[in-house]
This record gives sequence, C-alpha cells and structure tokens, in this order.
Amino acid sequence: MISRWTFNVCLLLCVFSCYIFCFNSLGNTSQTRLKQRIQAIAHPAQPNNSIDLPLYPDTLEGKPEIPSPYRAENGMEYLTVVTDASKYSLFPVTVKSGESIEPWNVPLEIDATDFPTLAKIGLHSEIELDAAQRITGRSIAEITELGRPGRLSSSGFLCEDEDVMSVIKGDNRLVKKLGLNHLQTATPLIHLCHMIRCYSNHHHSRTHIHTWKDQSYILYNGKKIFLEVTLTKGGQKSIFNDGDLDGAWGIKIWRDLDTNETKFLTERYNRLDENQRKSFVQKLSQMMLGEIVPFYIYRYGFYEGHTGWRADPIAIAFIFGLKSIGEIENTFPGKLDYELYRHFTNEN
Amino acid sequence: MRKVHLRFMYTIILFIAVMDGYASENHAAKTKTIPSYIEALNTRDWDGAMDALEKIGAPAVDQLITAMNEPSDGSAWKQRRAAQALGKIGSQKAENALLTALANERMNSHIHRSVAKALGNIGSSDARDALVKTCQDRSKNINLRATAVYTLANFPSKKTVELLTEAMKSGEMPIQYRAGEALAEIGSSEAVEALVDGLKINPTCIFDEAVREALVNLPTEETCDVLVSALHSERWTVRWSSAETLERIGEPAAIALMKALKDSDSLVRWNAIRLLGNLQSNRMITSLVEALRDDHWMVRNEAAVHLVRLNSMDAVDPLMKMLKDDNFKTCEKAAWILGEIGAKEAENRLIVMLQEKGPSAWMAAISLGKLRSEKSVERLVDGLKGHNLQIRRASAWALAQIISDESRFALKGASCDEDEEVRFWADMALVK
Repeated sequence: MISRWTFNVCLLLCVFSCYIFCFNSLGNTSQTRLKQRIQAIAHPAQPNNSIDLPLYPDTLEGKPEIPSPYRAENGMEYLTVVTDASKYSLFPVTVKSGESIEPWNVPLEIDATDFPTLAKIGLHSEIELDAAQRITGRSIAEITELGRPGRLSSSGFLCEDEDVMSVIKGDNRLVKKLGLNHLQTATPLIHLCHMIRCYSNHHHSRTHIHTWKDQSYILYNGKKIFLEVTLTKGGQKSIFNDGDLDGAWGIKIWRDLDTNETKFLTERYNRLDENQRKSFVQKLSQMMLGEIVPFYIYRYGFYEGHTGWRADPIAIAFIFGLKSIGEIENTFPGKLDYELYRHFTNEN
Repeated sequence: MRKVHLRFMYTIILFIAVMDGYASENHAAKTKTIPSYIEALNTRDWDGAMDALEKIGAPAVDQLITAMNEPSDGSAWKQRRAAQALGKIGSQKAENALLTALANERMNSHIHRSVAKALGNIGSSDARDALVKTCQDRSKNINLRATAVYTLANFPSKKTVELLTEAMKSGEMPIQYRAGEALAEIGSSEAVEALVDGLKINPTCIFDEAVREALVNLPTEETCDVLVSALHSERWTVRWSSAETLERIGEPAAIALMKALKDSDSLVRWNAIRLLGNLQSNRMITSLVEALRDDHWMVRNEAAVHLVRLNSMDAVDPLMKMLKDDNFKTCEKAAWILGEIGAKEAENRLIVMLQEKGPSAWMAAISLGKLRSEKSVERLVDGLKGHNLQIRRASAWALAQIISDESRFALKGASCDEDEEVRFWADMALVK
C-alpha cells in the first residue's frame, strides 16, 4: 500500500501537469484565433499589395478599402457590414461549389444529374425541363404534393395551383430575361446565409429564437440591405430527396428605395392606386425566406412558388443591385407588377 | 517567489476550494427534505425530485396530498406532478387521495387529468371503476374524459375493449382519438379489430405512432381497406400517415391499393400508384403501365417514374404498344420510359412516332437521343427543319447526343436557327 504522503505528492503532481497542459493549450488556441481574425486581403486597385483587415467580431472605425461583396484573387469573398455603433465588420462569405453546408452536411452543388445544362451555363434548357419527369429521383408529382400548402410546410413551397416544374420553368424565363443566371441570383443570398452562420456560431445562438440585433445594415453593390433573422430549432424538411436538410431560419431581407427609384416607379405605375403601389413596392424590395431557398436556387433554380416565402428573382436583382430599376423595367415594360404576382401554373 | 510558483499555489488553493464545495454539495444532497423535493417539482429538474419522492415512498404521501390539493391557476405543474408522484408510490392512502381528487368537481382540469393518469398507473379495481365512471359521465370535462379513456389501456380486458369500442363511436373527436390510442396500446387482436372498426368512423388517430404500429402488426384486408379509405381525408397528416402505414404493410396491401386505382379522387389514385410502385415488384408492371392512361398528370408521372425505377424488360412490349395510344400524353410517357430504360427494340417505333409529327413526337426525338440512335438521324434532321418549335428543340437536343458526321452537318445549319435553344444545342454539339 502506498503511504498517505506518497498519495498527496502524486495528487499534487497530477494537478500541476493538468495546469501546465491547460495553460499551454489555452495559449495556443488564443494565438490561433488571433491569427485567423486578421486576413491579408489583396488590394482591389493594387493586386500585388495586400491589406491586413480584421474579420468579425473585430470591427473597423472606417469603411474598408474594398467593395462589398469583394472577391479576392485567391477566391475568398468578403461582405462588409455596418454595425449599430457605425463601425464596420468584415465577414468571410466565400461561395465554394461542393462545400458542405453546415449543419446539414450536404454539399452546395448544382444538380447536374437532372439538369446538365444548368450545371454548364447556370440556366436551364427549356427542352430538358419539358422532358424532366423527376428530380433527385423523386417524381414531379410527389415533389409538387409535398410542396403544396399544409403538407411539409403550412404555408407551402408552392401555391395550390402551381406545380414544381412550372415554377422552375417560369423563374428560368424571368432570370434569363433579366440577363442573369441562377448562380448570380443565388450568390447574394448564400453570402447572407454564410454571414448569419458566422454570426450565430460566434454567439452560440443556433437553437434560440433570436432577432438580428448587432448589425445595422449590410453593404451590397452600394445598396444598404437590412436583415431580420429568426433562428428556431428547425423542423422544415426539404421537398426534394436531397439529404437531411432541416430549415430553421426565417430571414427577412429588405432595402429602402432611393428618391429616384421612388419617383421612377410612381411615374411608371401611376395606373395603380396608393395601396396597390405600396404592396407592389414591398414585393419588389422585400422578401422573407428560409435558409433552404438559396440552396434550392443554386442547386435547381427553384425560388419557391408565389407563397409568402418566395425569393423572387426580380426582387433579388433589385434588392442586391444586380440590376437597376431602369434595367428591370425595360425587361418587363409596364408589367413589373404582373410579373411579380402571377402564379406559374401548367397553363402558362 | 517566481510567478510560475505563485500560479501553482493558486491552482492548489482553487482545487481545495472546489473539492470542499463539492463535498458540501454532496452533503446537502443527502440531507434534502421532502418539502424541498416537492418544491423542486415546480422546476426544470422535476424528474429527479419525482424519482427521489418515489424512492421515499409512504412517508412522502401526506405532504404530496397537501401539494396536490394546493389551490392553483394556470398550468399547476407542482400539483400535477404531485399527483403523478402519488400514482408512482401507489399506496392505499395515495390511491384514496387520488380517487377523492378525481371526484372533486372544482379541481383544475390540468390536475384532474394528471390524477386520472396516476390512477391508471396504480391499476387497482377501484381505480378502474372510478375511471370508467369518469369516461361515461358526459357532464365531465371532455379532456378529462379523454384522458380517462386513454388510461383504460392499463386495464386490458374484454370489457375494456368493449368500452373503448363504444368510445370510438362516441362522435367526440378527443374521446375517439384517445380510445384509438388505448386500443393500440392494448394491442390484442380483438383490440386492433375494434380499432379498425373505429377508424372507419374517424381515421384521425392514424396519426398516432402506436396506432400505426398496431395496424402494421395486423395487416388484414379490412385494415388495408380502412387505410386506403383514409387516403380520402382532407387532412394531409392523416393521408400521409395512412400511406406510410400501407407502405410498411407492403405486399398484403397491394389488392386494396389496386382497387384504389379506380377511385374517383385523383389524389387517392396517385397515392395508390406511388405505394404500388414502392413495392418494387414486377407483379405491379401491369398496374403501372395501365396507370399511364390515367386522366391526371400526377398519376401518369408517378407511374412513369416507377416503371423507370423498376427497369424491367417485361414492360417494354406493353409500352411499345402504348406508343400508338389515342391519348398523346400517354404516348409521351411511354416514349420517355423507353428512352430512359434504354430499350433499343423500341427504336423503330419511336422513329415512326417522330415521323408522324403528332403532339408527342418531340418526346420520341428525346428518347431517340437517349438511345443514341444513329438510325434516326435522318428523321431528326427532318424534325430540325420543321415548323414545330418543340420538335425542333428536341431534335436539336437529340442530334447533339448522337455525334455523327450527318448530325454535325445538320446542326451546322441549325446554328443560325431563329430559336435560341436550337442554336444552343447546335453550338454545344459542334464544340464537342
């Protein structure tokens, strides 16, 4: 039997070893964190020179010398956010094809099996859509049934009179007319989702109902984008057979119209009464979506039907400054309200 | 003293302090009193307190009775859990107190339901009689009666099954739902037969997992008919639960599902064909092929996808015959399946279909492209030169899949077609 004295000495030695181990690991972790926070980003005007910019949660007093969003030469992408205290934060928001989307562990990639042309050029081929009878191995009928109101979602992914192929086809035409492709329309939304993920990981608030508080607005192509996010425990399943997607966020995105935009729309749409115009402007400049939608747009070119959770491509183009209001109006002269409201049904 | 040594000393002091704290906590835990456990029933850690009270047993009964009878409004967690603890202890004194509480008309409805559950746990004949009386007394709160109905599952007997069968016919939704759950919990063949009978009147309780499990374990023809009938429900959860149960039953459900293919409701037919398809059996080919003639697009689409999934050569002959069907939508689906499963023997029929330029000719072109049919190039080139936009697009797409000198030559001409999509496929083929 060991003596009491030997036991005490051993105990003290154990405590001391634990102390040394913990001290060293803590030190290493904080050093790594410090290194990760500061990124050397290639200067947009002088690519050979790099500028050291701190990433979120660190802030900058002045506006960083890079546009927002900014894609550096090494492919890294950053978004500038203005905080309530009028400081600037940089979020890493790189959109990388094939990367795993957390927490689903499902890769962000285009569904090349069902839509080879979408994978090649970012837009669907109409004849491929006409001939498609299934997506992700699931029949169009089953996807449509699951997507209707009161099934997997109480509001639905589609309206009762819509079907999934008509919606994909209708939106493909809209995006094509706008001179964009589905990757371009999905990217701003994926940027925002990456930013929210970064924010919620930092605040450990993945499973709490929560509203976006710290950030005042996001800069995107010179526009001020406002955001309100509700993080819940999840439960929203996907209508496609595409892995264990589990939607948990409600994301409200909007931006205010500037004076010229307001004047332009008032003049062009003077046939609408005040309430109609108000509702039309809201449709154009505001949207509510779940975090599965950017993934759907990227993967299938699916923006959801005309429910309250649709990410309309026209609204995306307008809110994120992908197209000016003049360009959008020229694409659908005098019919912008009609294009925002009309349902995509088999008869269209 | 060096800084490191000081840190070391601090660590030792901290360690001793923590150990001391742990020891005090441990001591406190051992000396916790019954009132403190009862108070803990009102907190998030109530389950630990409940276990402790159950272990204490008879000495805790008086104080638990007082806690259960404390006046309360709102959710009354402490009172409800006190009732539950009494049920777990199950002494005569506890049972008497619960029986008195059940008879108390002025008791909070939440506590009343916990009392009923607790009596169900005790399982004595007195408890049973009191619960049966509560079930049958229509002057009582309906939720209390429904809970009492459910607790009857703790007294499995012929008499109980009869009572629950009556409850299933009561016309009161919560009562019917809970009676269904209780019959499923009992799980005997008589109970499940009674459950199936009850489901004919109200299928809502199919949503309950225990009910579904019980039905899967007794997959009679009647059970399957009842489940198919529930596919008519206006509620998606009921339809979904019935379909899921039929899927779990598998082959024994096939006859009922085949009958459902003649139903007037397209959603029932769609669900039936989906479930028959999921059986993945060659015996279903005739039904699946026949479903391609259905009036509704969802049924046709589902049948087509399942026929491709089966990938059986047994389907080729009937599908080839279908290419001449009067309904062009049926022809379209048949052509699509033949292309998807790579049925080379259908090549000539598809070429004829394309040549006839009917409304489904475009799908024949697509399938010929999937079959990489060099024989069809001449016809596809004709299609490319025609006026029908969809046939032109499909022919361009097909020619882009069949790389031959002839197809390249034809596509060169198409690269200045007025339609963007035709030009796109021509360009895609020419850069290959």
